[in-house]
Amino acid sequence: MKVKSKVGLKLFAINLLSLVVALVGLLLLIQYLATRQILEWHRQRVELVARLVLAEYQNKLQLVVQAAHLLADNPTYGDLLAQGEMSTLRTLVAPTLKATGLQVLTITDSQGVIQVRLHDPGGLGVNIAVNPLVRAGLKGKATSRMTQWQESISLSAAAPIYQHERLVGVVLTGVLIDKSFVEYLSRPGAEVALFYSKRLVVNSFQDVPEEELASLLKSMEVAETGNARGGNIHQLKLGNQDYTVTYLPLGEEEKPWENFILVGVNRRELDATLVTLKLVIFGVGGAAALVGAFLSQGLSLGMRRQIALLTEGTRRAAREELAGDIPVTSRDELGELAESFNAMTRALREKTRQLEEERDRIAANADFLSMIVHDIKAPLTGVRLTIESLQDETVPPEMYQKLQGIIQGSEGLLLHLHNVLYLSRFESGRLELRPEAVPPRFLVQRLLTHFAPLARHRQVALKNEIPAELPPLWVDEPTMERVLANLLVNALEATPPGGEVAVQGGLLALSPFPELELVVTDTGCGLSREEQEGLFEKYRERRHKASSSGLGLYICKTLTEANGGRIWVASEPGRGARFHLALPMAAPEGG
Amino acid sequence: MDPWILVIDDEAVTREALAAILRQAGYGVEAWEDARPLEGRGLNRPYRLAVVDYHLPTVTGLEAAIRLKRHLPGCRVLLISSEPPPRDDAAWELGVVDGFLAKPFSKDAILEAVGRLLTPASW
Repeated sequence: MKVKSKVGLKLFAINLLSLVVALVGLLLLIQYLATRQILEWHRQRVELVARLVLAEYQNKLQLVVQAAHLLADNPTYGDLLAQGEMSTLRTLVAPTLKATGLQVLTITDSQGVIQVRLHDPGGLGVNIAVNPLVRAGLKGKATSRMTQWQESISLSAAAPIYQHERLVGVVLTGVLIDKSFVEYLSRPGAEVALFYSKRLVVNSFQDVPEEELASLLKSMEVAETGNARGGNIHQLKLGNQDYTVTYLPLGEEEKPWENFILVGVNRRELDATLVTLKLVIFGVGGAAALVGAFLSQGLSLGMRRQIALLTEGTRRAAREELAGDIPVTSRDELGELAESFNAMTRALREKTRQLEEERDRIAANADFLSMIVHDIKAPLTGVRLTIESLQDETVPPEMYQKLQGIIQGSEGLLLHLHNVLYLSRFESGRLELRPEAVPPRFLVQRLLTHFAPLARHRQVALKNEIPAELPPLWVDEPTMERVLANLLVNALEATPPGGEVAVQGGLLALSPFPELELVVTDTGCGLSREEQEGLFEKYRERRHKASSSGLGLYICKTLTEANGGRIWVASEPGRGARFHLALPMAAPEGG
Repeated sequence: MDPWILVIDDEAVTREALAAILRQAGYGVEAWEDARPLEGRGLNRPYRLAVVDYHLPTVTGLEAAIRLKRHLPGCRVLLISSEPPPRDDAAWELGVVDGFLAKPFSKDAILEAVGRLLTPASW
């Protein structure tokens, strides 16, 4: 059986939604933590690069200082200088220039006059005549310093040269920190800039206008006032690039921020990494939500199948009158519901079967009763006709009167038999009504003719007072005959000799739809208010007749209402009774 | 001569009472308990009317009426029964029955019905 479940789609949507909500929360948390960690790594990278740059710078400075001391402490150089053998001195120190990577090497005599001057092409023209380092050296002090020279930074150191504790000269060493060095220091994605006296001297930043780099000083001032060590990491936009930058002081302790290095790491890679991270996290999360939803969908298939079977089963039960059980496919509450439903339909089927048997039994009883009535009617006809044929014979009048009594007794018996027969047909649902146009005066006349012998026997006058022009009724004729027969027999029995029973008729003026009224009146003893209560109920008869079955008026009410009419009584004790019938009127011909 | 009437009823008491009442009324009457004689060649009397019970031993009253009218097309048929014959009976459709009287009926009722059917105006 194919299962069509409307719940399935809703369930799928609910599953998906709840999974998405849960995952979005989780993913936001993961994203936050991951981003924070990546940013932390980025900061650490910036710091690491900055420290490497600083270390390189300090290596350079140390190289200069150590080279100056190395040369000054060599006694051979002091002797040669004191003896004025400058060409020998030059020859000896020349290799040192290349070996140490120095760019400037100068030796003066004790007067500060340059005796040996060596330099590579980059160090050409450096004027040391007014160099404060030389002056300090002549005073016996070893010093170093940083200065700006053209578009570079110059790192230089000086040390005094002695011969047997006599100062004979000063050695001066120097290196240049120029653009090539700065570019050597910079790593891929990391750039370096050097500031001297708060002025940009050299930098490796590309595609960034220098005036923008100069404006960095403003943010530098912010860093200066803040936590100077480690915490001075900022985010800056330079040109069209975003950088994370940090500052490292190079100056003396009293003025740490006069000279400094700026290290900037481009955020382009970082931003790309963060975007990739988000895509990965939300992509994987979304896929997980879909997989979860499909999994739960699959798991709920059994449930939905049971619901669909229940729905189809209930529909089928209504359509095919409780045919068949619902398949039980799950062992949960839904399965129990299906089993309960099956138990209910089984019980209903059993009840229906019993009712059908009961109905068949009642129908069989009605058939049986019908047969009995037929079997009684046939011989009764013979009895009646035989008695009546004696009327003209030589029968004594008393005997004839008694024979008439037998005839009337048989009439009463027939009336009861008919009552029982009609009631059983009605209650078994086998009473078929065939409404047709019935002229009321003819219907009543036929009955009055039938009951004329009884009326004569009881010495009661029978009158048909229905106007001939009264329009026809719309009723089933045999059942209305039963009603009128009962009312007439009751009226005849209730009326004393010399009295009168009449049937009147007319249009019912106050009725909302066309109705005729027939009234059976008698001049009998009438009915008290108590007697009138429940008069039309089953087995609740009746006046002056202990032998009555109590069905007559109940039959009248049942058959009148089956014909779409109403019945009621109007009576007072001692003033006769009027039984009213309101019945549908046939539509005028052609109307 | 008074018209002849044929009475067919298997119940002896009814048959004889009917015959007696009709004879008292001056009709010539012949009474049968079944419609079997109608299978013969012809009828020895020119019956003007037949009073036929529906439930007969060998055939229904309607079949008896059909046979009767084959011999005597002018003979009228008054069907008597404790219940009207079923409406789906094909013979009912043929209109072989001229009148119906429900059992039990009174002497007056049968005389009135017979008189009406024998009156030329009712033809």
